[in-house]
Amino acid sequence: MYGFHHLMRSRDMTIETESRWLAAARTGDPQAIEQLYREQGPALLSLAERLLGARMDAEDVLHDVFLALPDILARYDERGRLDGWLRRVLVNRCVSRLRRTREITLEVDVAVEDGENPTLIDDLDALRRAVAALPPSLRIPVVLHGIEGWSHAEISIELGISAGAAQVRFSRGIASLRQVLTGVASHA
Amino acid sequence: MPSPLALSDALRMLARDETPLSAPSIARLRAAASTAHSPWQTRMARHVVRHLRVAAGLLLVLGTGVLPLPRGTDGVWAMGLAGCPGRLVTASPSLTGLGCLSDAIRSTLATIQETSPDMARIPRGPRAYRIITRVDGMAGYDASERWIGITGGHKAGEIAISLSQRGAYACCLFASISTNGDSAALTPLRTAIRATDAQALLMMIFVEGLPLSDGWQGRIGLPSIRSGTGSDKPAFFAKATSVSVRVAGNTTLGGIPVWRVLAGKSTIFVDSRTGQTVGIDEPTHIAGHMREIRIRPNP
Repeated sequence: MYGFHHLMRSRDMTIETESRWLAAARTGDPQAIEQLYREQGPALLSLAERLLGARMDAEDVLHDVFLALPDILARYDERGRLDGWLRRVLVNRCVSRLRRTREITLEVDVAVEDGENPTLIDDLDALRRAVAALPPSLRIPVVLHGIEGWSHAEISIELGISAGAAQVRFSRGIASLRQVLTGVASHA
Repeated sequence: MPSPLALSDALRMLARDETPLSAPSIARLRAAASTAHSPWQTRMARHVVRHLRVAAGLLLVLGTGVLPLPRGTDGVWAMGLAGCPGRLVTASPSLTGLGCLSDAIRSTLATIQETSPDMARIPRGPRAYRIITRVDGMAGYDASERWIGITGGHKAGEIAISLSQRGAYACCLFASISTNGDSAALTPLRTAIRATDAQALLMMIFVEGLPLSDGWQGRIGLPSIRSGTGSDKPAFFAKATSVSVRVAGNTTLGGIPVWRVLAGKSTIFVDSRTGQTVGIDEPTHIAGHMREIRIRPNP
């Protein structure tokens, strides 16, 4: 059974205090919003930064989410985990922001096949840098599918493209990562 | 050395990443969450402050609600650390709602004080209607234009914001750059303002190396800055591509000897010793729109 007990797996808050903060945040209580920000913020900020490619942009979007928390929580039915739900809200806002800045192109991509040889990663920092260096149109599918575990169908809805195009973009992103990481390895 | 991971597994590992929140980030959120605001205000504030980076004390007024700009504290630090000699000066004779202004100042300063306790001082009471915040302090004029106080002696930069209320909402930002200022520091601001869609009064006045003397006059160009709101674009923008500027004598402002520089319907007070702009009288007829006046010597 999934209920409120599964909402937040915060490190410091008990379920009871979580419940209180959540209820207070629904009313716009600044202290509760701040508390949730402290709890959920680090992971969300990392995700936003990865999607947007810029810390300041990520922080802006994250602030937007938390300032809108009373409204957001009004639509939250508490049947899933709050952190996962907030991640979806955040992704949506990040994508919207990228759309506004026209950093996401919506053209249909040409399919690119993945390489067959597995790429082994022993330097996660290099991988982080490589992901960050991807253009947004490839980075988002890589982050959402490869890191966040979204399906291509979910990504296609978020981006307003076909599932096939989402998959193609992911494949292209992965191919690009492989190329970059292989280059890194060979120069190391 | 950890075992190499397949790319897909390595990507999944990144899902555990967390980015620590900075104290200013938390303080900004707290300030914003504690204050009446709208998405419009937040966006605009963010645009201005983020790109200006020197916008401590920037305030927006919306009716009786006040929003301290989210990145004000960072702005203070950025400006101080950069040693930027630019200054933003405010003077708003038409300002109404002094209580609101006072609350706004206190609210913003509270945020600044929390993260930069050495940089903020509470102004002397609500009667100050001209406010200059400095990197390390604050000064204000009272209604009789006496400089009622200033703290700190930091000359690296100072910033002040003028607030104005006109109709439902208005915000005005006066910016000036001293003759030895770093005008490049404000270039992003101009870009940012173009990007805003606010129905706000944003007025920037830049003074750059004018050979001021009594009787000096010239014309300055008015860059085509649109408010972005489209339908409310005033004829002012369409017609006025330049504005006459002349020095109309000298006076004192807060004890500082200044030139009175008439620029269009604005009066700019420029420190006759340093060439720095120390005050501006705003025209009140352009509230709801924005314009930029860039004052520079004619070629």
